[in-house]
Amino acid sequence: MLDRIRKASRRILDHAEGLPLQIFIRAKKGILARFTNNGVHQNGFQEIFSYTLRLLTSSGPVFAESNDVSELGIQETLRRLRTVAPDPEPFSPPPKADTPKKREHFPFPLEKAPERAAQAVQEAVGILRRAQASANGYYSAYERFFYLSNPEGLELFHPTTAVRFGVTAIKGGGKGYFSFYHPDPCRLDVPHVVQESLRVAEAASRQEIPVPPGEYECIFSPRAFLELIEPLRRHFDARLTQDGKSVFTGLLGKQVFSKEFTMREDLGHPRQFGIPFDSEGHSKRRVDLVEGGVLKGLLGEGHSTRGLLEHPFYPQNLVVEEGTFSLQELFEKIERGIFINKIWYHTLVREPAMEVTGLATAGSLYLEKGRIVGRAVHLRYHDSLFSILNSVAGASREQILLKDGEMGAALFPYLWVSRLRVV
Amino acid sequence: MEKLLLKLQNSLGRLSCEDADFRYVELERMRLRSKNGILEEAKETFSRGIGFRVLNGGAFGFSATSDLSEKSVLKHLKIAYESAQRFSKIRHTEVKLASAKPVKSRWVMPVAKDPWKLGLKEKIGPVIEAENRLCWQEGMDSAASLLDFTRKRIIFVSKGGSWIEQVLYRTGGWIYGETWVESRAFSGGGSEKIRRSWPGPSGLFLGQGYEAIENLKFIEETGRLAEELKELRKSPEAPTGNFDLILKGSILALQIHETFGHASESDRVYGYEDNFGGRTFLNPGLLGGAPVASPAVTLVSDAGPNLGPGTGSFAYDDEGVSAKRIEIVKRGIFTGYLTSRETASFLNQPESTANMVAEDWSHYPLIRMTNTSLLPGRGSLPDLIQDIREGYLLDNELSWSIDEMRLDFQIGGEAGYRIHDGKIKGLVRFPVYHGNTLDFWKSCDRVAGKEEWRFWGFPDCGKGGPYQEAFTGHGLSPARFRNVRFGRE
Repeated sequence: MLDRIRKASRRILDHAEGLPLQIFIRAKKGILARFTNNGVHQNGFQEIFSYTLRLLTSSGPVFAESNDVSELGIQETLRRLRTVAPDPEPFSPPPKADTPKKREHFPFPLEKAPERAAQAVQEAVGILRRAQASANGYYSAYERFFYLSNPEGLELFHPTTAVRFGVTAIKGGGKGYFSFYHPDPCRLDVPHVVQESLRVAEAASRQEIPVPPGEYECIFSPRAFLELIEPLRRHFDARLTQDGKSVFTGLLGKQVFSKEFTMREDLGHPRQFGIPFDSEGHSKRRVDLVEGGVLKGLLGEGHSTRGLLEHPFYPQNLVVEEGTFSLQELFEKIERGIFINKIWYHTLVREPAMEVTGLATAGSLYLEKGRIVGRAVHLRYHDSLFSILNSVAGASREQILLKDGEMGAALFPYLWVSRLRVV
Repeated sequence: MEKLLLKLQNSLGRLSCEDADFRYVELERMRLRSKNGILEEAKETFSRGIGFRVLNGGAFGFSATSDLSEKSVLKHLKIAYESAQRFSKIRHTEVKLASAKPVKSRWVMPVAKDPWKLGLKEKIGPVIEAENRLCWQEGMDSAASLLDFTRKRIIFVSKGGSWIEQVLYRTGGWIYGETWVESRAFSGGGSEKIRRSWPGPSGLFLGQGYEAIENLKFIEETGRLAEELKELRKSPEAPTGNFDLILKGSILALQIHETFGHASESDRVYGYEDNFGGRTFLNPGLLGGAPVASPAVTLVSDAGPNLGPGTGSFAYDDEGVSAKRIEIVKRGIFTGYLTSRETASFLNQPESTANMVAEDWSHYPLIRMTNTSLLPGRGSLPDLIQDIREGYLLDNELSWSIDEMRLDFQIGGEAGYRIHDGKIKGLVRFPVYHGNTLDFWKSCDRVAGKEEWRFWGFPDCGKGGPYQEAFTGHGLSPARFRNVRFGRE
């Protein structure tokens, strides 16, 4: 693949006639299959190759993206780019630095991907049927390539593989979701994922517990917590903070969250995966964002997502520090509270206080005196993220690796929060 | 290209399977973002490729590629065929398709001004001018805009003999002004931004060319936006309590979209979207007899041209079925789902409602809203306002959240117009209302008439795995709802 990508890059540079271009090439091959008990109902094998050309102008960047690598296709893409940016400016070249070494590519027999998907679905559905449960889930396995180059000889390449498998089991009115992600497809243990989703569904099937409005202790699953803090993520942008447009403006070095909460942007963590360079070719490096609840750092050079994501600087490799408890010990600490397994339609209501609302789904359990009593039904929260993160009381020892967008991953523990406002 | 497609059509004909089709798609998109009168980012995207769908042994297989060499496309046809074969061995329910007549057709969406034939300055000039006018206003912190143009050429070919070529346009945009005000959101004080956007925070998208942007009259709207922002600096926050509510424009489009729009997608009935899009409260037992809204409410789905240039418009869907109008809710009674050929067969319906749409060549088509519209009633917006003692009129959404059955929702607006004794009496900040879909639509006592009718539309309705986005149109006139709960205690 690297040869094919290099050829395309050279062809683009040949036609660019000295334009101060940046070339970003993405290629992807693989399958995603979605299933219910009745089998696979939606699937797609995709082979995608695209390039994004970037020019800098006095007012901002200009991008042209295409998947047509023919001579004519490249010429047309360059023509479009020149039309919107007749007087491009040179990029300041990224400083030479060692990019973190990160192996994210594992043996991946692409031609067997549909067969593997069918096997995984068959195995999962078999277990679910024996457990007299129904389900909905997905299996995906992809090989991806990211490549960045420019006329000055910059060349960065990162191959990746990934397998993801998620199941929402439904049993006796209870639902349970569990998922797995890892770059190495061999690590997938289908029965484990299905059993975990069934375990939550069975716990949720005991009885329905309506949750009256009020404040509750909560345990968030790693997935639910990652979704919960999503509206905060763009505010870790150093430039946004400097311009007074971030909720963290003026708070650097100050206690913003609970002392029990520490979060880093850290691709170098041994269990993290992602692209080791940013969209401008800078090497990624660790940034301690929140240390013991104190806002310690913000994202700048080395974390650009310009042209690739909606926000120009956005964390891609979050790691929340683990705690000292097992998940069972966390459950035992809850006098009256809720386990939130997955959240649904989470949205920002007002920005300054980071006021959010959403619903709990797919295995939200009501806990009393450390025991699961049944499923929490119809649970809508409406609260401030500052207030929720200020009440983090602990975390599990176990951290779970989660896929986070196309280019990153997150490593989160289960989080214990002493109060969440349910409406 | 045509030669290759003809060859592939012959290959489809030779396949031993129940059904097969492919879509060759060329997709062009141009997005122009500007801020404070300066073009901040321009992005042009072009992609082309081919996606094969094969129904073999009662199961589907799909494969797509951007490599259009003969060797590559034949390989992907084989992958689709073999995937279907593999998945057929693990299926427990056989997929059967409602019939679809073979069609030979070519349709180009009529546009007055093709955005690809206009220069950059010509396209962006009016919004830059509008932004500059907003920026000149006292107290204005910033102004920004987005223009977004899509042109899509699709050639759909089926084993059954269809050859349909379509060229579709989707055009839209938005502008907003923003100012910072003293925050009342939390006791510590601080500042908070307030935004007024036109035509809405997600824009207004139509099945048109550049004329859609011209008709939005960005420059003319700047005076109102600036005045309202000025007033909002001093306005109170919206109260908590029960009030009458009038929804118009973008926020009513969203209310339709999130409640009956998604709830009427029939794939949700069969659990296909359980782990992403969710399910629906509209179960087949309710079909034909259940009151789900007030008699003032009739909702239809129609991708055809009869109601107007909705951004979900086409002549044929991505299964080659011709656009048609269906009633989802007729005078308050649930009467129909949006279906594919597969779910039409599940529901014992003779044909699909033509709602299968894929984002591009690389995605499998899914059941989608096309243009889901609230049919007009009688009277004008002032007629709706004059019967309200205490209430609010909302136009633009700020936040939204709804449960997986599409019942419990909460929606926040950018601002609200307070109505007192039948008259508008100023603005309030950050109104939030919530309710239950059934109760809410049953409380709709009036929809304004044809003179208030307009198409609205969104560019980014997400669904499916791999994730894909679709354009959805919503024709509507303002509607009034009684005794709605505001605020979160």
